[in-house]
Amino acid sequence: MADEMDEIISDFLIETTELIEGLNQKFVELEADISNQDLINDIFRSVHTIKGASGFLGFNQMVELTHITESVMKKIKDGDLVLVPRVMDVILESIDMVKVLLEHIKAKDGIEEDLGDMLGKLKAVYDGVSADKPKKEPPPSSGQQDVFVESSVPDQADVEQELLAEAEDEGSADAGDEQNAKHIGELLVEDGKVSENDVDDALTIQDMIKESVDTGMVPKVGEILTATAKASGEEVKKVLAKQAPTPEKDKLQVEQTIRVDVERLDNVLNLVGELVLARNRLMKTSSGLEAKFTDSSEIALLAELTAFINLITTDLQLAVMKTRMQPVKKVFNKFPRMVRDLSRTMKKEVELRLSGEETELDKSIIEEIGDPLVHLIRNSVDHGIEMPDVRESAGKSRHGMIVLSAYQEGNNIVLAIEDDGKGIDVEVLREKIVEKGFSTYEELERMSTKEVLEFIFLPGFSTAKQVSDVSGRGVGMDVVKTNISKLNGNISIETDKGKGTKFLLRLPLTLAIIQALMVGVGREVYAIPLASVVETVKLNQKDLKTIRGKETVILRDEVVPVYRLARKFMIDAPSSNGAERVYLVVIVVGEKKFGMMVDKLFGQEEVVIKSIEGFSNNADGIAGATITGDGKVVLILDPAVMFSGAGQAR
Amino acid sequence: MAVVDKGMKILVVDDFATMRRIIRNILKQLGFEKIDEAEDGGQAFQKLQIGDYDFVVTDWNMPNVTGLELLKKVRADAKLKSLPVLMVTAEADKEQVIEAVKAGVNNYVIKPFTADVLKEKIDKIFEKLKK
Repeated sequence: MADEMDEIISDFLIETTELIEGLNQKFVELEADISNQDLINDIFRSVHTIKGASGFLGFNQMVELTHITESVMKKIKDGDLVLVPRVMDVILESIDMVKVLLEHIKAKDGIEEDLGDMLGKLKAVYDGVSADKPKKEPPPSSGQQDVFVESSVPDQADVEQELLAEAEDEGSADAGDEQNAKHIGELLVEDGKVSENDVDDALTIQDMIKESVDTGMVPKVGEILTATAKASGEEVKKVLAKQAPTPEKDKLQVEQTIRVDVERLDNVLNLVGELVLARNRLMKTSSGLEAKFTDSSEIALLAELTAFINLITTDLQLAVMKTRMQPVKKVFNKFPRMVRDLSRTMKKEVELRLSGEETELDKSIIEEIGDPLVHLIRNSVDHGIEMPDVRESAGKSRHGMIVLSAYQEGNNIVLAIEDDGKGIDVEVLREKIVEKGFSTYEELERMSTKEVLEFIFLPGFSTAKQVSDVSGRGVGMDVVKTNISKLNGNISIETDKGKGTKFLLRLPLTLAIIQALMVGVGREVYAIPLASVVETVKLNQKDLKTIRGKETVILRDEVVPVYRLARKFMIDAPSSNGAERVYLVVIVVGEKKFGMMVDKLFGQEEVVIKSIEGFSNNADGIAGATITGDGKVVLILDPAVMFSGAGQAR
Repeated sequence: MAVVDKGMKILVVDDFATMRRIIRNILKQLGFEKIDEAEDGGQAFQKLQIGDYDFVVTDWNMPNVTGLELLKKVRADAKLKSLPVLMVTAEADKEQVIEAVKAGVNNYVIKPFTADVLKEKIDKIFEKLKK
């Protein structure tokens, strides 16, 4: 029983958190379109739902808070309260408080927040506006909580009156219930319209309602009679006609979803990973046997089965990966609210537009991508978008725009953050780079704009003259870069002075299984993620040129720096000194190309990344290890780290 | 007291999974075993048409098809029209109860409720049906 309770509470936490995340987005949308009744209903229902479940689970503070928030929402819903930014601020604050309470529930710390202030604000919003409006009848309070419950429906009396009028032209609807009931009942029976039994039934229903509703909202018997189809059909029809037509939005196919513990999915993915490895080995063994025993029918059968297993494994792998995919909406949802709050604090006018929210990414990437995005978006609001007046005098609209989009590009997902702000002044940036001692004018002179922009991602670099509390002090961009690299992704900047800046994040669809190019150096084998490989070329000694002490290769008129993998791992191999009978793997990191010199190319293989215990994965440009088809443990290189940063470029 | 068949097939309708679980849990405490769930009125109605349910516990406020709309559809369906329906409402929905009664709800219960309250409501519904 206790376990059951724990599970319910953990369900509650997950589901409520999801609701809240959705709410933030909806509120911001609502602020832009305050008359959107669907949104208001959605929000109302979410708050209502949280309250309902909290009541069952005994989270009293949550009930108290959501109760009054719900009441405020109800007023908005009923059109009795206009959603001005001030009201919105209070509601958003209360939603934040809901989050705080959720944290306490999660931590099981039993801490009670002081809600007095928050409740006071909400109550002020609730009361403040009703004071402006013509006085409504006081709510029939039955307990202190009921103070905020609106228990009158505007047209209730009208409906009642009409119903009664129909049921024999009765007089005032304000007459006492019992008298009325008997009167109507008697009259109807006399007219032969209903039987005495039916009147009895109606009275029972009335009792049933009375007993549950303790605030006097008891329907008249005439009404019940009509409603329960005991009175004449004509009257029933009239009543039905009065009821607002309800939209029939049936979804024909039943949605079938179940919630699965992530741990189980991770486990399945791990097992599939193992299966992929075993499949690779099986294929190798099978093809070996096939070459050895060409005329054995059993071997031929084995080869056939292996091919089949290969096919199924690939499908299975894709299917499992799919189960872990989540729409980026999950992350994107929190940003409209964030941008709204930021722009209000900074007195800027910024609109965030989202696109491609349905694009899916692996769950683990979704989880990691939030912080970098927060940083980049904050950056855009803080440093990108100008103050409204500045924008105006620059001939732009006062309203800044940030577009956050997601789309698939081959095996990658691209996330783009684009603002129409002031852009990055590359000249100022150059000065800054020299001033901070990251480089010299001479060196910068030789770099392309793209390369100069890369400095932004170096640790301890910030272009903001003043440290603001929004974007912090220049820790961040390097962290963003590192985080993206950890995900096997990369980040690049495009900027146009005066027109805006665009950050592009390229991320792999999944993390666990990647396509890799297997290369050989001496007797060692290494795996290079295929995503970063542009091409492979056979190297000739004459292609190799030394420029400023660095080895380079001219590839179709492009100068590409060369690295000897053999030297990096201190392996004695042909490629450690000479350049005969060696290959160059051309890798792109960011926008920059590098050539990695190796002895042999083995081809493409699907590898499962295994992290290496007790080894800082990103330290030395090694992403992890894998087991190849022939059972060998092989290191997977991480070119992003190996070649990242201008400082490494030597 | 009314004897309610513990083996009856119950459909719990709520858009919030946690709520469905809570209600299911309470029903289990009361000894009911055959409990199925639906996410909204639309899904519920489809399930009702296919499976032979004996009793429906539905939330009021749901997206797409609300509890009230579900109730109306049930009452308008030749096969389902006498199916007992218990509506779960919140304090704030009280005024809507009249609407539910008009639409032919068998009884309703205000959340949060205890197992005892739910039992009482269920007993009442089936007691009345037997008459």
